[in-house]
Amino acid sequence: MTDLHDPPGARRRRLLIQQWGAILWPSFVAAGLASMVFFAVVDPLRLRDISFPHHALSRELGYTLGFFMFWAVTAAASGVTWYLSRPPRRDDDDEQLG
Amino acid sequence: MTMPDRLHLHLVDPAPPSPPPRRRRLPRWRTWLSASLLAAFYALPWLRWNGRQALLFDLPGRRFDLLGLTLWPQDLGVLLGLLAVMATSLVLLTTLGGRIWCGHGCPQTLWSRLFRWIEQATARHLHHPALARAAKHLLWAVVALWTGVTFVGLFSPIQALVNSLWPPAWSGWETFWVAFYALATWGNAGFLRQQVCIDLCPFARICPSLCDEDTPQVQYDARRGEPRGPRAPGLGAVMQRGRGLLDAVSASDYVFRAAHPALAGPMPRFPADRLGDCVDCRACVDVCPMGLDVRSGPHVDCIACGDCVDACNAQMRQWQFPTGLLRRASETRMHQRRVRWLRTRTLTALITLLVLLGVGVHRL
Repeated sequence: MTDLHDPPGARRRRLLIQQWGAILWPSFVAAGLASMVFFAVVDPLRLRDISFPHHALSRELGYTLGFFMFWAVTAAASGVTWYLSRPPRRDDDDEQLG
Repeated sequence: MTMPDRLHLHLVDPAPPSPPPRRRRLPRWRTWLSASLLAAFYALPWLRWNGRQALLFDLPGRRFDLLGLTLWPQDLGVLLGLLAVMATSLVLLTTLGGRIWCGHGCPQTLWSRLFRWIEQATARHLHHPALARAAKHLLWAVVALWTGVTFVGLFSPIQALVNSLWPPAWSGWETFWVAFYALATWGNAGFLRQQVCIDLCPFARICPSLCDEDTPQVQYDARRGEPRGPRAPGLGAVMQRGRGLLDAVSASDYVFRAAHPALAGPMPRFPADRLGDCVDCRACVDVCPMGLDVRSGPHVDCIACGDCVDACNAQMRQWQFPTGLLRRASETRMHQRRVRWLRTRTLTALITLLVLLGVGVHRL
């Protein structure tokens, strides 16, 4: 890919997809694995009985909610990692070089 | 007012005849392989085994049916073991054969190829651009939705799912996951395509550390092909007309000059009898799904699909040159050394695989 010669708009779009992809995609895989292991041990219906006994939540809804909860948590961790791994902004960064 | 003096143009070379334009065709075995892998995915939930769906991850019932095998939640280890066996096999395959998985088996490659084929077919058959675009998006949506239905059919009995398609009677979570998976297919195969491999795929990042100089990859035979350039037909290939192969240093020098004209300056002109076998038709660049020029040397983004090899071979046949100017070969083979089959990486992967299989057989 000759990304250096792409127009700036395309380069920015590519960078944006790369950043969001790097946060959302690994957290998606991690959440999938975590859901698999978690729900192999825990039955969503038993979990409902001890947490929200007055709500009619089906197993499917339990799996879906559980997966997205895992994904939200893993994506949040990925997002903070991305944020912290950017070079911090220092005072002397304001002066333009060159 | 006087007429300007007439310019005298000296044409150095006759314009090279361009071979007749040919539609890009994949060789039959690759079309068949892609088609059968896609068909296998779409057929997977329809397979029956002893009157039950052969592959069903029945989440509400908390049981997984895998052909004759039924796994319950406490058998999670078997499922994780199967995943580990598949991952290790992939490592072994990649070390021995290069990125075969990426080029031929990966869903991202297969669905991107299908979506690109739809794009090209609609553009070819419908001459009105707006109509072609509408047809393309309609077909993309149908394929994406059916992919979503097939995927959810692995988790919810597909016969019931399809029967309740019209009038629509899907449960909320079925509708949601069909839409989610259809949207992912549509975005990944229709729009992101190779960017997924370049920027988002962790396996693509690991590949360079799984491969070594004995691993086959797509290579350009620069000693035979350089210096590249258009020429009049009838000259013959380098081996036929006695020019022979270049020495490795000159060949890589020409490759560098062609790849970096801004650094190296313009390419010197060569008399036709000194030219190599690369006619610089750029067929390899035009077909590359990753937008690479494989002649500049092996690239980490190359998914080894072999499109460039086929395009080049087709050109070579038209010029009546021997094929194989681009070919799948390891570094060792390019340097005429013996390929070692047993290396540290292969042995590690092989032993891990055998241990995993051994544990599996022992447990079952």
